[in-house]
Amino acid sequence: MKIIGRKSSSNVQKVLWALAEMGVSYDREDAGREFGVVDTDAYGTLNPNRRVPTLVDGDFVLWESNAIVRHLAREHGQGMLYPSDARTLASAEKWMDWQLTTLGPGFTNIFHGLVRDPPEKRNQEAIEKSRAATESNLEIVDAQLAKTAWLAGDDFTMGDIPAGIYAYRWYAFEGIERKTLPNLERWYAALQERPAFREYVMVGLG
Amino acid sequence: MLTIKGRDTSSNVQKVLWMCGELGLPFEHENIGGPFGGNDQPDYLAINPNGRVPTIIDGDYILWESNSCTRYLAAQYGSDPLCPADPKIRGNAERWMDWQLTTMSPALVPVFWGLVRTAPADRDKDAIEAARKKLSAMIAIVDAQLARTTYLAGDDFTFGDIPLGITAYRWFVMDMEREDYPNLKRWYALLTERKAFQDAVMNPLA
Repeated sequence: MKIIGRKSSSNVQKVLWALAEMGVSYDREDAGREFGVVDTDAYGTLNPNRRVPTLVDGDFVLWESNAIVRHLAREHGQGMLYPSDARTLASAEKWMDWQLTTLGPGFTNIFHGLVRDPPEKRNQEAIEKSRAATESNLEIVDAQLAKTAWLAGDDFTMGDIPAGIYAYRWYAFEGIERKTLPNLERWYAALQERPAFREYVMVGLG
Repeated sequence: MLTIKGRDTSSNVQKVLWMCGELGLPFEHENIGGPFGGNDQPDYLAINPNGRVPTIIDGDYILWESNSCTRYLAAQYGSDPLCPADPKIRGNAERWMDWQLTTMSPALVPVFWGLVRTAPADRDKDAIEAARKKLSAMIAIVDAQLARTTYLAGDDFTFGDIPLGITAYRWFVMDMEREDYPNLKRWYALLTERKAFQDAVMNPLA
């Protein structure tokens, strides 16, 4: 099995974190941003959307990071990353989808503004709007975590993976205003105790 | 009985209504959001802190995020091939669902708003045409998949056809120029033969 995509991508990190949680071995090839590759014909044949990551497992090719995580968890993480109870499973999937529809899009401008743009080129208004949106989205996560230990219930599942990556990035920004969110902080502390999270997610912002 | 909350003109609510039609599943429906309002009220936010539609209530279980709701209903009340048993087919089906969230929806929204929700006199024709071209490039990715398989994930209709099926309806009925995508057209013709699609999706745009 091969994962194609740079380790610094939040979407690639979802897959690498999940694989490490399950102890599955794989090969990885860099692609995206400074590594290029995604514009080649060969990559476009595998992944016409030309983003990272792409999973290649024999003759099976899959892209879209959350779909890859669910596929791998179904194959290798039944009852662990992949909940066996149908409702716990759906709740985990809900938080994964919500990262795609809401948490991720809200976060784009603060991340690009603070991490990718040089200080003189920063659009402060867009950064602040994105910061406020992210804070408000994380309040939704905090409210869930006031009710359950992990996002989908009593146990760590794949549903914690996408939002977990954003939590790292949120707390790694320097000098931004952050509301105190005690449940989010408790959950984030628990994530930091996981070796797979430390190795694949807590790797700086790039 | 299952309850679905959300206006039936919403593409995201239509995913769930269409799935219920495929399953022959009875439900109670309440129009919320858009002109009906209600989605910013405390009683709604208590069940869906994200404040969007749809939300489904199945006994004591509450779920939101439309694609997760669609998959949950298929898993609970349906069977293969609607909810694919083969892991690779399921992975592919889920990939097209996620891709609708990450890529197709952001491409469709500016065209939809420009042509459906903006009065003709107020339309920015150049912006709409630029957005339409981007949308068409995404439709081309769907068409290329459908050159290889009858439905998006393989030989059979699955939950993976639902989100992009709704996009296809909008592509074909919006008042605009359309490039010819023969595979998309063939697949769309199959969808239009499904009663559940006719009932839930083939309605005036609003």
